[in-house]
Amino acid sequence: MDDQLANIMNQGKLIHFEGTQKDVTRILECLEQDAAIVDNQGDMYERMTVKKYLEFFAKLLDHRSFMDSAIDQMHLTDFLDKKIGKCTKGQRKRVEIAREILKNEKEYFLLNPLGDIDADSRKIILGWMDSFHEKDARLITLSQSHQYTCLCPGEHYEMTDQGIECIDKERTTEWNPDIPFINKISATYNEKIFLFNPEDIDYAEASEGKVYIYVHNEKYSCSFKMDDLEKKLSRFGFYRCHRSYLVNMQKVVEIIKWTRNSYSMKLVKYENTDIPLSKAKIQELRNMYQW
Amino acid sequence: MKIKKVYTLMKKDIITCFTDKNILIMIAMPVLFCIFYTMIMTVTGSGYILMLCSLFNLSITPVCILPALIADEKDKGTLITLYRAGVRNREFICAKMGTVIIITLVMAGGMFWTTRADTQSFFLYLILNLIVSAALLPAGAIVAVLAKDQISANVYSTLPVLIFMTCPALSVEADVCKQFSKILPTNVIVEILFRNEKEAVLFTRDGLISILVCFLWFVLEALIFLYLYKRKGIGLDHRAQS
Repeated sequence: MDDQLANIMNQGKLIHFEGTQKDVTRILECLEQDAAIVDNQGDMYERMTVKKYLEFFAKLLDHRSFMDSAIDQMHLTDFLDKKIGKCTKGQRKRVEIAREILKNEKEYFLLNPLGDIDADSRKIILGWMDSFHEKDARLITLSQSHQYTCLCPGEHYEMTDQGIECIDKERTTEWNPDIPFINKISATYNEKIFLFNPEDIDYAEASEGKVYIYVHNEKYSCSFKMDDLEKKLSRFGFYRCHRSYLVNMQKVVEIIKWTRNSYSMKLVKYENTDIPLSKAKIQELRNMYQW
Repeated sequence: MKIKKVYTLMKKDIITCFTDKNILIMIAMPVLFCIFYTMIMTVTGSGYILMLCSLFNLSITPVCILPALIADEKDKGTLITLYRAGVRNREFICAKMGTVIIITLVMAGGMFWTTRADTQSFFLYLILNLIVSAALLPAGAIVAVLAKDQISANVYSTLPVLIFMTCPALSVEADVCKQFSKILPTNVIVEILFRNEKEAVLFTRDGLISILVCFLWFVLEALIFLYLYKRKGIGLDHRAQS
């Protein structure tokens, strides 16, 4: 698997993995010694202001000329005089990334870059990631959330015990008239079996080889495959916005544009959830809804 | 080793000494006691107070503050961030040691002026503080290598502090302590500054022996530190070591 990992990492500029904490070491071993790393190991000097913190590292690295660029890229101007201990999680993440930008390295690794942060910070970080298309540098990320992995611009892979699988490959499906018309979808939770009306289902997600459906903010395990679920539910207004997501379009309230090629959807009563929209589906949806 | 990096780290560490409450209390204690004793102990004389508080300062600052500064970085998790920024062990340790020496001398100066000692011996007083603190720095580094965090650093440094401070302080009154303190580096302060109170004299037989004792302590501590450092490091992964 390490050869496969090394091959994948050498191929692209923007590579995003979905995996667990134990995959971090494996990825770090494939990186250069001087790679810029933002993970949960290093901490920050809480009593320093953001400006003093970046100045400190700029002097250590002897890269004072990159400070303005780092501040601009992470949009830190508004809280430069704020103590790091008083910054929000999103602001701290941006400061950490700005610190690594000071190194001016060719390789960057971020662990859970979009997890647990506010929407503004997420947008800024996604915009920064998008800029790697024009840079002579490489960005590797590892997220534990399937959703956040898919939201990042670039290539997406899932790391499992069996190997590394590309999430981006779209499977073609054919209509099978032998599948009976069923009005209810079965799901399980805590050994109980539920039958849901399609209109009650908010969205379905495929993650770690299983399919889950979300109803009223609760997560249920579903035995159907995504393709079968798509066939059953498409006539009820469900749309396959991503290889791993099937969304009830009646519940979609907002389409968020993060970058030129990165969109997500917000559902009613799911304030903290962003359903990624794959690059291939953006134009289709745009034509459908005329925006 | 890059001097610029050491300088940048030292600036940060000096600020930390005055902003971290635990470290600030440890630094301030000898000076505060000096002020307090000066106010209440008019009979004994300023020489004795200065000697006592200097022993306090020299025992605490290199042996407690140095490991506290290093353990503070370990506790906060900022050590690995520094290493990823290209800071090497030598630069890191040199910066901490430099900070401790500066703090020791500044506090020593503060105590000197508080007790209104003879200004003619100020320069000699600073030199002696420098010699003793340099001799005790490797002891602080040993505690830093052994300690996992600030709490264990404070626990491990308690006994050395007591030995380095108490014996020379009591050597004024007790012959047993006087004999024992001859093998301690902090005895320099007592021998050169206090015993010749009217005129501090460096080049007496006992004074030179006490300076030699400092040197021997430095060598012994340095050897122990290097041995422990090679075995344990400062507690980081292999990618950070150099």
